[in-house]
Parts: sequence; structure tokens; C-alpha cells
Amino acid sequence: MKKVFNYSGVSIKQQLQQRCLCSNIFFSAFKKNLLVKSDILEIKSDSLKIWNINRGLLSILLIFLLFLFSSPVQDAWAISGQELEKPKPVFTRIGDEISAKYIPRAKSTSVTTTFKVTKGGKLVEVKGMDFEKAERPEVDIKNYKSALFIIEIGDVIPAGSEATVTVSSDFFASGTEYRVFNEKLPQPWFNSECQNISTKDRVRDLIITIKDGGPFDSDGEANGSITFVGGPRDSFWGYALGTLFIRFFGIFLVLSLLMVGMIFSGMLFSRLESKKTSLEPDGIEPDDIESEPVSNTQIQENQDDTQPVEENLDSDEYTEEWADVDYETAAAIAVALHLHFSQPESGNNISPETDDSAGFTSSTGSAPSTVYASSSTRSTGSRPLSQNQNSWSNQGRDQMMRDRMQTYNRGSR
Amino acid sequence: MSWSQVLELIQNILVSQTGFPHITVGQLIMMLIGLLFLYMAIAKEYEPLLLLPIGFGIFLVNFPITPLMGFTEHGTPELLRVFYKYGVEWEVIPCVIFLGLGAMTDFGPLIANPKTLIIGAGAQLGVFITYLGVLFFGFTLKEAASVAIIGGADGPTTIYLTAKLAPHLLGANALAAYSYMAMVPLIQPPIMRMMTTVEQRKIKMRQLRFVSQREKLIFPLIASFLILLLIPSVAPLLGMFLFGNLMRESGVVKRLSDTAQNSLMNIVTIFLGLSVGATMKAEVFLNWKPLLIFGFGLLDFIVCTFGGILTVHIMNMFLKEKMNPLIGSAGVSAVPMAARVSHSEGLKADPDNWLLMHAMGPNLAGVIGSAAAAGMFIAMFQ
Repeated sequence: MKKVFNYSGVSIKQQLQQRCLCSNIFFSAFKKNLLVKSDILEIKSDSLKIWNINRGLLSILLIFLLFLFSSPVQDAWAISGQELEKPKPVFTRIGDEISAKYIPRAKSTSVTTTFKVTKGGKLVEVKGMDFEKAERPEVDIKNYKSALFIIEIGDVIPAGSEATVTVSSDFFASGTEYRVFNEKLPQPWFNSECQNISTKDRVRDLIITIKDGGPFDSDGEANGSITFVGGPRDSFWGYALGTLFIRFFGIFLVLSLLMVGMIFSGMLFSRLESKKTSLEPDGIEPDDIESEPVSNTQIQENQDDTQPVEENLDSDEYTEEWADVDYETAAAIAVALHLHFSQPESGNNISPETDDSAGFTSSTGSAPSTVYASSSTRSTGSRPLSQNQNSWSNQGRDQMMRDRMQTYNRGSR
Repeated sequence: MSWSQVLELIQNILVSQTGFPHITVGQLIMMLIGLLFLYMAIAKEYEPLLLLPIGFGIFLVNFPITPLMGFTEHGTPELLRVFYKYGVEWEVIPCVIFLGLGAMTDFGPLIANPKTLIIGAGAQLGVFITYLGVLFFGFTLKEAASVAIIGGADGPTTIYLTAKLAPHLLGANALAAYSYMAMVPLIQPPIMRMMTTVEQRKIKMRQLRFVSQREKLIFPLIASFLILLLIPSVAPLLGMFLFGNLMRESGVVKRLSDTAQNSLMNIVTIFLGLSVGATMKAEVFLNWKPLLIFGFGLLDFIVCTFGGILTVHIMNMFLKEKMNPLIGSAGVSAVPMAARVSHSEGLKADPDNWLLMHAMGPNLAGVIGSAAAAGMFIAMFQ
């Protein structure tokens, strides 16, 4: 009976059995970890508590890691993507040249590769070839982003002489090689040692010299015709790693430039705003307010002003009107009003000492055009107001924060 | 008509016109998966706006012989195929969602503290690490890029990039992205605590400066100019995003802005969810790849969080006014959940430390960063 083996020589069935065994051991260990109350496990449990790691999450991760490093999995996945990305060249002949248009692996746009025989023969035909036919364990398909091609050259006169093929494309890089496949040789894949020359418009020419009946000739006979099988090769991992670093730092570069742009525009706007403020004649400077003496008589007058309002309030009416307002909202409104009217500085520049008291609207929302300073706020001086905070003010802030978050709430999209 | 003919007719109807004889174990499993996501959306309220239509899409499309995701004999696409073809395959819906998101977003915290843009870039570390890891496990470059972007924690970006590069992975990628976005409060805090000391978590940051309306108005223009010159391939996504934001900040097209934020957004969300769910037919979805995608998605989120916090630590070496490293985790996008997590972790260390608005900066930078990463990947394959 035929047994299915993977590259490591162990049957897939055996590996699956091993994997199941591993999973069973893991699950039983995990179960024990949850149920058995030994000292060691208690310590483990405590250490998890310290890190506050969700044990469910941890177990998912562990299962995943166990699963990940079982080798059959690695072999099974690579199939569909490679199949979908298989290049399907379309050939067009113009004079002595044949062009192949195709979407290479790891590309979304098509490229054109041109074939011509520059010396020693005549280009008869170029065909595409499935990689499966030339697949060998030592060859990674990922390195062959373009298709494999069968190039047929005729009229090689005299028989057994050399012909020169030029393969051109703007898709080739300086490191691109042209590999030859000849299944009649003990080592079927080898490098053609072609010349890689840059021409105009970023097009590169790969120039290969092929001897009729030589190792590059798949028919193996010096009969005046050459069948040359192969394809351009680029280092997959070299490209992947190189592009990885470039693009990661590219993001830094893009966002850094944006940052610089924002810093400059911020400076510009700050200057414009400050100019505008200084030009406004009616603008009330905080320093003026601070220097304005508040006499005991004035305080008394203010108290007198508020007194009749309180007295005129009908208690029943008051209760009815505000009955729907809960304590939390009332507290939030009170704190919001307190923070709003006790804001010690105007708009743009709020000192770090008072930042906690400045309220969230000032960060991005509309700052009050006129800022009043109460005597109580002034009495705290430069002391951070956060020290005066109690649960009410925190609750008030929390309420405001929630209101403000509506702006950012993307509704989970 | 004889009894035998009647029975034959009934038999024919049962066999050819009902789903029972055609149902497979795979389809039943997929229905259960659909129900699981419906449960997560309804009972647990995990990203319900997306997981509910996705879950129902999965459930619906796995009924046998239903005319939903195929083509008629005349080649006309069936209902959900129409949504998918014109919405997702043509890359319309993710861009329209970005338009709505732009109209919803207040860039104030980011404009007030532009340094946080760097955190948004640093938090893309996981995207690139995952890209490498996934390649190691046999994925193609395009597939790897589409899986890696999950760590950007931006649903529309993930869908946009996957639809462009590896449409066969769309369902798994979208599900992984939205599931982990919902799990940000579970995933991030342990990493945040691991990477910061208590003292660092207590760092108080300067109150953000006031940002004028004019400054907010000019932001989409500057950002468009700089980003689209450098990464033109991201223009459909970021162009729409910044256009939405311009509508919002201009204040003169309130109706359009409101429509983009609400009605339009809600309409396309329905079509997006159903289309994405509909891609998950049993014969396509039931293999090892989605499992690997989920695993790497989690790893991606973890490394992105790590990258964001690490970036703040590095920045703090050079900054006079230190930043609280907890805001670094918000660089993974997932607006505003990641910022909320930073804020709540900050409050745990110091009940007077209010980090939310500071964390909104990197959070918004994360949106731009993940879109930039997507643009980089798209450009890579051009």
C-alpha cells in the first residue's frame, strides 16, 4: 500500500497521530492546571494574576503555537495562493521578437517580457511552462515570479554552433538571474550565467549564449535547433526582507513629514491666533482680571443678588422641574460649570500645573471667548487643582469625557 | 396520474428543489460558526454593527442550493454576489466607510500634539513582523500582506487591502480584524503593564493646546498633499477619509457630513457585513488557513501594541517633556477603544491621570499609519 510521506520522511498519518497525542497531553495538563490545587499550580496561578493574563487567551495562544509548529500544516497551506497567482503569459509576435504579457507572482499589474535571438539563429516560438513540471525539492517556486518559458530557436547554422538570446523587461532587477532547466542532466536546475545589462527606460536585458546540443539545449542534440527551458529568478527572501525594512521606515518617513507639516502649521496658526487676540480691543486679559481687586462689599452684593432668586423659587415647582435629573448628571453639570468658570487661563496656552482643571473642551473644542476667574480659584495659586479633586469632580469629568467621546465613537466600524 | 408518479414527483421536488439532501457537514459547521459570531454580536456586544451582518451572512450563504452568492445560468450575479461584486470587489464600500469615518473624526488631539504621529508609525511594527512570519508559513507575498494588515486594527483598511490582494482570504481576515478589535481591552492591558513601570504609568502629560477651527480645516489639505504625494496608492482610502473630514470641519455642508456619518455609513455597513459573511462558504473557508490567520492576527495585535509602547519609550529618551508610555498602545488604531484602554490603565495607576485625549492622538495617527501601511503594500505589488 502506498504511504504518503512529507519531506521529513515521516508519514502524515503518523504526524497527525503525534499531534493528537500532543494535544491530548496539553489538554489534560491544562485541565489539571485549572482543577488541581497543588502549591506549584497556586504559584503559577498567582503569577498569572500578577500579569493579569486572561487564561483563556493564554490557552488559545499555546494551542496555536503547538499547532503552528507541526510540519504538515506548513505544507498544506501554500497551495491556493500560489495557484491563484500563477502567471499566465499571452504571447504576441512582432517581426523577429516575441513578447509575453503576464501578471507575475506578487504583482497586481502586468509586465511585458520580450524575447529575441540576436545572433546565430532564428526565434521560432516561445511558450509558457507550468512550474509543476520542473518542480524539484531544492527549487522554491517563490523565487520565480515570472513564468517559465520554453524558447525554441531554429536555423542554427552550422549545427552545434552558438546562438544568443536576449530577454528584456523593465520588471528585471540588477540581481535577476536566468535559470535553466534541463531534466536530462543529473542536476536539472542551474544558472545560465547571463549578462544583466541596463538599457534605457529602466529596461534590463538578460543576454544568454546557448550552444546547440550543449547543457542549455533540452533536446541534447547538435541538430540546428535549440530548445531552451528556463525563467528569470529573483531572490524572494531578499526582496521580501528588503522591501519590508524600506516600507516600514517609509511609514515613519511619511508620518514624520506630516508631523513636521503639522508642527509648522500649528506654529503659524498659534501666531495668527495670538496676533488676532492682541488686536481685539475688548479682549479681557487674564492678568487684568487677576489684578482686579474684589472688595468685601462686592462679594456681599453678589450674595445679595443671588438671594432673591433662591427665595423666589417655589419648592414644588423646583422639585417637579428637576425631578428627572439624577444625582450623577447634577454632579456632572455642577462640576462642569465649576471647571468652566474657574478656568484660570484663556484659550490657547494652558499651563501644565492647571491642566487637570482646564476641562476637556479646551483641548480641541471651543474655548470660552471670555474667561472669568473666581476668587476661590485664585486662592489656590499655582497649586494643581487635581489635589482638590474629590469623587464628584472625577464623576463630572467622567461624564464630560463620555460626552466628548461621542465625537470619536466610530460605532465599531 | 398514478401514485408512483406522484411519489416520483415528490421525490424529485425533495431532491432537486429543497436543501435537505444537499446539506453537508461543512455547511453545518459554517452555520455554527455563523451562529457563534451572532452570539458574540448580540449577547456579548462585540462589534455588533459588523459581526451581526457578517455572522448572518455566513449563516445564510451556507444553506445549500440558495441563489445568493453564485451566478445565474445567464451569468447574472445573485443577490449577495451583487453586493460583493460592486461593493467589495470594486473596492467601493471600504472607501465609502472611510468617508464616513473621516466625517466622524475630530483630529484635534492629533493636531494639538503632532509628535504622536510617530507612535502611529511605530505601532505598525506588528504588521511587518507578521508579514514576515506569515511568509515563513508558506503564504504568498500578497496573502502575507493582507494578513499582516489585521494588526493595523482597522476593519475597512483590512477589507480594502484583502479585496485587492487576496480576495480568497477576505472572510477570515475581516473576521479576525473585527474580532480582535473587539478584544482590544483583553489583549492590550497585560502587554501595557509588562512594558511599563508604575512610575511611567503615572506620568502626567501637559494639557493639549487649543486647536482652532481653521487649523482643523487645513489639516485634511496638508495631510492629503503630503501623504498622497508620497504614497499615491493609498489615495482611494485616505482621499475619502480626508474628504469626509473636510466636510465636517468646513461646517458649510452639515447635511452632507451628517449623511456621511450616519445614513450612508449605516447603509454601506449592512452591505459590507453581508458581503464579507457571504464569502465564507464551507468549501472555501474550512481549511487550516483561517486558523492560522486568526493566530497570526492575535500575534499581530500583540506586536503592534508592543511597537507603539516601545516607540514612546524611545521618544521619551529624546523628549524633555516625557509622554506616558500607556498612550503608545493606542497607536494600533481601533478608534476609540484603544484610547479608552490607555486611559483606563492610566487611571488604575493614578486616579487623577486623564489620558484619554492624549491617547486619541496616537489612536488617530494609527488610522493614518495603518492606511499608509496598506498603501505601502499596494505599491509593493504594482
